[in-house]
Order: sequence, then structure tokens, then C-alpha cells
Amino acid sequence: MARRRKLTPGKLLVRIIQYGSLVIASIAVLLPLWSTIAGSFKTPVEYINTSHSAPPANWLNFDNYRQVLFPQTGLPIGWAFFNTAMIMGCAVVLLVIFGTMLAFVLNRFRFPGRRLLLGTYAALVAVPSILTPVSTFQVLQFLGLANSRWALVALYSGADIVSILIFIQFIRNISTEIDDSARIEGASYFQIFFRLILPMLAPAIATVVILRCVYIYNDFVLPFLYASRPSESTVSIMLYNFTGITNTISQAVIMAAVIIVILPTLVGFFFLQRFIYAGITSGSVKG
Amino acid sequence: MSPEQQRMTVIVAFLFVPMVSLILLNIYPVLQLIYISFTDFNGINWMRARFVGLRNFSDLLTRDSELMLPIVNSLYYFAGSCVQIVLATWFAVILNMKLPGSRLFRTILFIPFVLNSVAAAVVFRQVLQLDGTLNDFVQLIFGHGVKVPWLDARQSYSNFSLAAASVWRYLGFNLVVTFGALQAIPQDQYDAARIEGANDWQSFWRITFPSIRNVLFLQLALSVVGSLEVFEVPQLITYGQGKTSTFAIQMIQTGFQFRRAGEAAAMAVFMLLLVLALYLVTQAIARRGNAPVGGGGLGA
Amino acid sequence: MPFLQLENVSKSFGSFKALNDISFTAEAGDFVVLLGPSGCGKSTLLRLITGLTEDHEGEIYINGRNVTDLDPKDRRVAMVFQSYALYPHLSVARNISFGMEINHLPRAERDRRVLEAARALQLEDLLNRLPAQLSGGQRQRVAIGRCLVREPDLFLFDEPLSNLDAKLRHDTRVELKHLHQRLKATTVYVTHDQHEAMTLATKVVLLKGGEIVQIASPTELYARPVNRFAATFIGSPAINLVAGELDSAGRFTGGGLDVQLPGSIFDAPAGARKVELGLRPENAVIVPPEEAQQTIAVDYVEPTGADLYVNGHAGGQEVVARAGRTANIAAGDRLPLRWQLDQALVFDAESGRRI
Repeated sequence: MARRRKLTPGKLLVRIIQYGSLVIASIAVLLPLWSTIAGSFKTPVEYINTSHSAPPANWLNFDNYRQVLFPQTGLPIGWAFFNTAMIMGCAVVLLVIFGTMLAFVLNRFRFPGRRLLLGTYAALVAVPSILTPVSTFQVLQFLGLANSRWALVALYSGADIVSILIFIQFIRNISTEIDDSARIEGASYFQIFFRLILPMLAPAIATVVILRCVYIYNDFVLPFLYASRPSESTVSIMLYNFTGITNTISQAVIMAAVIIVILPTLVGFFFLQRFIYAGITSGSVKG
Repeated sequence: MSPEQQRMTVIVAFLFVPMVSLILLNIYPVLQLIYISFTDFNGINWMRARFVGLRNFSDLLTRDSELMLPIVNSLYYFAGSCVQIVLATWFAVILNMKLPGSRLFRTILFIPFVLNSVAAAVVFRQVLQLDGTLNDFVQLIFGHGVKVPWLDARQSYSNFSLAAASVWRYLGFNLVVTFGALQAIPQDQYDAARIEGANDWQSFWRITFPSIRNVLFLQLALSVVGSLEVFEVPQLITYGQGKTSTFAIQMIQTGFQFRRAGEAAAMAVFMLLLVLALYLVTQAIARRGNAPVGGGGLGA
Repeated sequence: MPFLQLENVSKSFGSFKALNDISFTAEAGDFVVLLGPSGCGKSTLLRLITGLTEDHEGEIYINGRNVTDLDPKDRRVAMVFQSYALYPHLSVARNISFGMEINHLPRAERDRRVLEAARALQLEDLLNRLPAQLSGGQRQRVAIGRCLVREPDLFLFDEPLSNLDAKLRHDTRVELKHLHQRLKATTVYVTHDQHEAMTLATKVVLLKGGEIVQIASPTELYARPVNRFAATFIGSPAINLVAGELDSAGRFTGGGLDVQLPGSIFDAPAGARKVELGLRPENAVIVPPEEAQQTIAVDYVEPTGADLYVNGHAGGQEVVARAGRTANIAAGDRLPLRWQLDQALVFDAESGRRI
């Protein structure tokens, strides 16, 4: 007969405290979300008169959603999603192409200035993007990109230390014997990169793509600084403007807008959790 | 083409675009920022910008009333960050025990981090509003009609609310990072300790903590820098009004709203120097305690 | 002109001299093993032959051509790497045909050669599999197949068996031997395992510290090692080196021995001097005590199934002797031995060279 070690009262207490803290934290996370969801189905009057955390009278009241998706005035929010998708697409493609090339060169070749280059990317971590807008804006104006989505594409595809680290880590694990074998077979460095290394980087690329897309979709600061015109704006700016006009729009409608915005993220998150955790861990723990 | 030439071609070809991007969008702006901080540039017209030397900096340091507020606010956020790291470690350790339901809890606690910034701010804000859920609890305890204006920007305690919002948003990140570090600790060490009779508390301090010390230190360093440059949370929840203004918010306002780019640049440079100083300090401490800090460990 | 020729090859990395004045030749069909301990430079030498590492002194000739200044792809060589370096995202067939694709060989020709190689290595059923789905032995065959289709002048192997477990190592070694006999391909093979070298090589190049110690066939290396290092490197368990003195009449005393050495074992006239007498464990014969040349005190015995290795000491020095597996010997015994002195080797105690 199998014997299990008894759960002592001391251990039980500890377990209760542990689970208790987890539950409390979970409530702290879920309660605001619940209020938002509940609020999005309430009518404006209902919203004002009931507690935020009370469930709506009618779970199928999609009025607020209709107002957000098909507004009487102003720009349809489809624009914002389109802009965001376009920016994400372009930026991620550029980042993957040039990020992998950069990692390849940094890992496989020795050349003067290599350490300096690596050091520069590392040092950039200390320069938060929030501090440079005064001058970055000037540069963007000079390039004719100011206040447009292309400014965001340029910035989002640029030197991201986390992505580069992920690529470099991964390339490190690709044995140089692969390169050697290909060289003996007659391949040029270009061929080695495009036919061998790049396909072998697929998992890293997937991680980077997911991480970057999440980051771009959620980012507020960069669009706020460099592309706040409504026609060029991203989902973040659209929502920001939306929530600023509480005078004419009920909070309930804003709740609906919020749900619309976070729905794709939540769906994506549940399917792609693993990648996100892996990316954050490798990008930071080993950095 | 000789192998040497081929190598050079590949290096140049592959590095060209990243270099251009790095210089144009990262390096040059920093240099130009430093330059602008010595002028009275208004952000639009270069022609009328004049060199004013260190005037922007001296102005900045003498207007100490305006400087104090953001710095004090940074302390709120830093305190919040410390709480955040401690909580994250606590939860990470619990989740690492692989109790039933761990996966679910980890997912839940991480959700705020993957939400859109603006959305997250709105979600959290409506809990703190006058008729929000938090005040529902307050009324439950203190009686109907008692409502605390958690987000009143004219009061400094509203910074607690904002710091709490920051913790709510970013706890998941620290959790995942610390959890990842915990997972890397080989189970054998714990087994050996158990055989020798160590209890949970001892295991934690003698095995777990030393192994994740570096990661925790890194998070601490990041939070120091983060507290100085905090922008998003206050901007999104209270629009940086009143007592909730931060250094970064003021800088943006000075530069873009008040059209005093030179002063704003000076503020930015001041901030950069502060961050740099703190960065060096943390590196020095790290070296003493033999903990590799992020950024110095990239030698490939 | 020999098929493979290295002339005065030296290579330095900064101030570290990895290879010093290496010269040797090989005929077509030879199986040359570069043997030596870790760090002796054998892998560096292999890389110089392939052209992966450049910038060395000396010349290298393959099949009559001076390849010293040529790229790897122009040297007509093929190499099997330690970890096989199979391309993980390509099927077996694509792995094998990769080189041909790069060089724009027509489709029909590529397919033909792949099929031929697959047949020779029994890989026909595996052509569509990915490397991750193959066993270690199968992966190695794919790596060899990749070399075969290039129809190279020279085959190169870099410690290909070191990643395999003991049983697989033996089987694969046998396969390689068969392959070499069939194809008669000129091969250069790097290893630190003297057993592999002995069984596979037609010619062994023994290296130490970047220099050639001896170039010889395996049997010659075993029977007539040029110095102490070569003698101890070949043969397992290692040869016994008994320190003692040699007089001008060829009598050796030391380690509990006092024997007259047969003149046939000397290559050169020996004078009286301090020497080390090399006696291989397998040259020991157990005799009744009255006939013994040396009596050792047994420390412990190692049964290997087929033999019994007796570890003991005599005259203050350690001795290992091989006995039959049924011999009744235990720790603490005193074992009387006689040695087959016509197989003995004598080394000058100071220089280590064989006399």
C-alpha cells in the first residue's frame, strides 16, 4: 500500500497563504477586466447607476460596440487597425531580415570594431526612447518621415537589443561545422546565410516576430511622439483620443472600445504564450 | 573573389542598413540632443537658434521647485517597483513549486503585461475612479457615500495610485523573468539539501536566492532607470497633471508644447547623465558582488 | 609524385606555434591517420589540408596539384565532421545533393549520384527523412554519402567516432574499413584513439605538440616506436617502462630484473648508460619461481573477460602484466614472471629515444 507523507498543520498553513496570495493577486488582475467587460454591455444610464463590478442587465447589448465600430462622426477605427497592421508587417519584416544579418555577421566573423558594435547596442539600453524625441523628431523631419507611419516603421525596425540578443544566442548554438561543411561544398557566405542559417533560425524568428508584434501593438509612447495624426495613428492613439472625449461619449462605449482593442491580444496570447515567455526569458536572463 | 574579399563584401553588405539605422536613429539623435541643449532652439526654426552655453542647465537646476516634484514622484514609482520585484519573486517561487493550477495563475498574472498600454490604463483607471470598484470596497467598510478620490491629481497621494497601476501592469514581466531564472536551477541542488535536512526557508536563502541574485539585481537596475523616466502610466491615467507630473512628462511638454526645445534637451541630457551615473554605479556594485549585469555580458 | 604531399607546413596563431615543419606523403588509396593527444595540432593540420584555415607556411599538394592557395571548394576534398554537420532542415536526399545544387549540376546528374551513394551506404529507405529522425550511425552514413557524391580526390575525417557509444564505435569502425577497401579512396583521418588508428590506418602520423613524432605503419609503430612517447601512446594497457642501467655488455639491471638483452633489439650500438626498458604487458609469461626473471607483488587484478591484467610492483616500480583469464592470481600474491626479451624496447633515460 502506498504511503504519502502527511500534510502537517504547519505545511497546510503555508499552502493556504501561498494559494491565498495567488488568489488575491488573480482577483486584482481579473476584477478590473471583469468591470470593463461588464461595463461594455451596459447602457450609458445603467453604467452610471450601477456599481462598476455589477453584471450588465443584458449580456447581448451590443449598442456600445456598434457605436465604436461604426461611428457617426470621425474616422472609422478600421483605419487605426489597418495602420497598426501595416506598421507591424513592415517593421517586423525589416527587423527579421536585417536583425538576422546583423547577428550572423557579429557571430561568424571577426572584424575590427566588432566588440565596439556589440557594446554600442548594449549601451543603447541605457538610452530610453522617451528622452530623445527632441532630436529624433528633427531627424525624422529631415528624412521627411515626421508624423507619419513610416517614422514608426523606421523606429520599430531599428536597433532592438532584445531581438538581436535572441538571434545571436540562437546562432551561437548553430555549430560552425555547418558553415565549414558548406564551404567545402563550395557555398559562398551569402548562400550559407540564406540557404542554411536563415532556415535554421526559424524558431528564433518566430519568437522575435511574436514579441515585436505584441510590443508594437501595445506601444503608446512612440506613436504619441512621432505619429499622432489621426490618419496615421495606431490603435493606441485611436483609443487614447477616444478616451479623452468623455464629455460626449459614455464610459460604457469606451469600455467597448477597450475590449475591441484587447481582444486580439488576449486571443493571440492564449495561443502563443509559450513563445512570449521564452522570448522574455532568453532576452533578459541571459542578457 | 578571394575568401578575404568575400568576407569583407558580406560584412559590409549585411551591416550597411543596420549601421545606417543605428547612426541616424540612435547615435546621431543623442549627439544632436547634446548640441541642442546648449542652444535656445525652439523646435521649429533653426535660423533663430542661438548658442547659450550652460544657461539651460543652470536654469534647470535653479528652478528647484519644479525639479523636486518629478524626483519625488520617481521615488513613488521606485518604491512601487521594489514592491513589484518582491511580489514577483514571491509568486515566482510559489509557481516554481508546480502546485496544481500554477499554469493558470501564471497566465492570469501575466495578462496585464500583454495588454495595449492605453487599454490597460483605462481598465485600471476605472477601478480607481470615484464610482469605481475600489470605492465600492471602501464604502463597504466605511459606509455608503464615502468615496476616496484616488486619482485626484491635485493630491500627492494620487501617485500611490499611479505606482499601483505600474505594479499591476508590469508585475507579470518580472514574474516571468524571475520564473525563468528559477527554472534554470537544477533540481539536484534542492534534493541534496533536502537529504541534509534543510527546510523550505533555508532552501530558499541558501540555494534559490544566490542563484537568482543576478536576475533580481538586473531587475532592480532596470526599475531604477524606469522610475526616472516614467511617462506612460501618468500620461495615460492622469495626463500628467498637477502633482502627478514626472520628469519625462515635463520634458515633453517643455519641448513640444511650450516650444522650448533647448531647455527640454537640457532636461533630457541631465536625465541621461543621471541614468548613466546610476548605470555605472550598478555596474560597480555588480562587479563587487560578482554579479554579471545585463549589457556587459555580450562578448561573443 | 605521391598523391598527397605536405612540405614544411607550419602554422602559428599569434605567438602560439600550433604546427612546426610538418612534412609527409601518402600514396593513392592510403588511409592516413593523424594520431595524437589533445592539443597536438592534428585538427589544425586537417583544417589546413581542407583549406578552411589559411595562412600557413609550406606547401600542400593533392593529386599532383599545388592546392596551397586554393579555396576549399577548389581542392576537390570532402570532409566528415565530428558532429556530422548535417543540415537539419533538409532531408537526407537534399543534404547529400546540397553541394551539387550549389554548383549547379543538372537535376538528372544530381539524382543519379544521390541514388548511387544511397545504394552504396544503404540509405535508400531514408532519403526523405530529416536528420533528427536518424540514428547516430545513419547520420554518419549520410555525412559520408555527402562526401561520396562530390567524387573528391581526398576524404577527410575529423574524429567521427568520438560521439558514438562503444558498441556503435566498433561497428562503425568496421564499416569504415570495409568502405575504404571497396572504394580505395585516399583518406586522412584524425583521432586521439590509438585503437582506431591501429585498426584503420595504412599509415600513421603521430603528432605531439605540433611536431611529427613518427610516421610509420601501425605494426611498425607498435614494434619499433621511435621514442618513449610513441611507445606509451600505442598499446593498451600502456607499455611498462622499467628504469635501470645498461652496461656495455648489454646487461640490464633495475626493477627487480637482472637480464642480458638480446642484441637484435638494438638499432644502434649502445654504451653503458641509464635506460628505460620497455616491456609490454602482453610479453609477460608466468613461470615457476625458480625460472623467474622478475617477481612482482600483486596490488590488484583487472579481469577483462578475455584476459586478466595484473597490476603490481617490483623493485620500487609499477608493473602491469597480462595473464590468461583462468589464472588464479589475487592481490597480495607474489607472481614470478619471465619476459619475452626479443620484443623488448630500450629507451635512453634522458632523451627518451629508442636505442
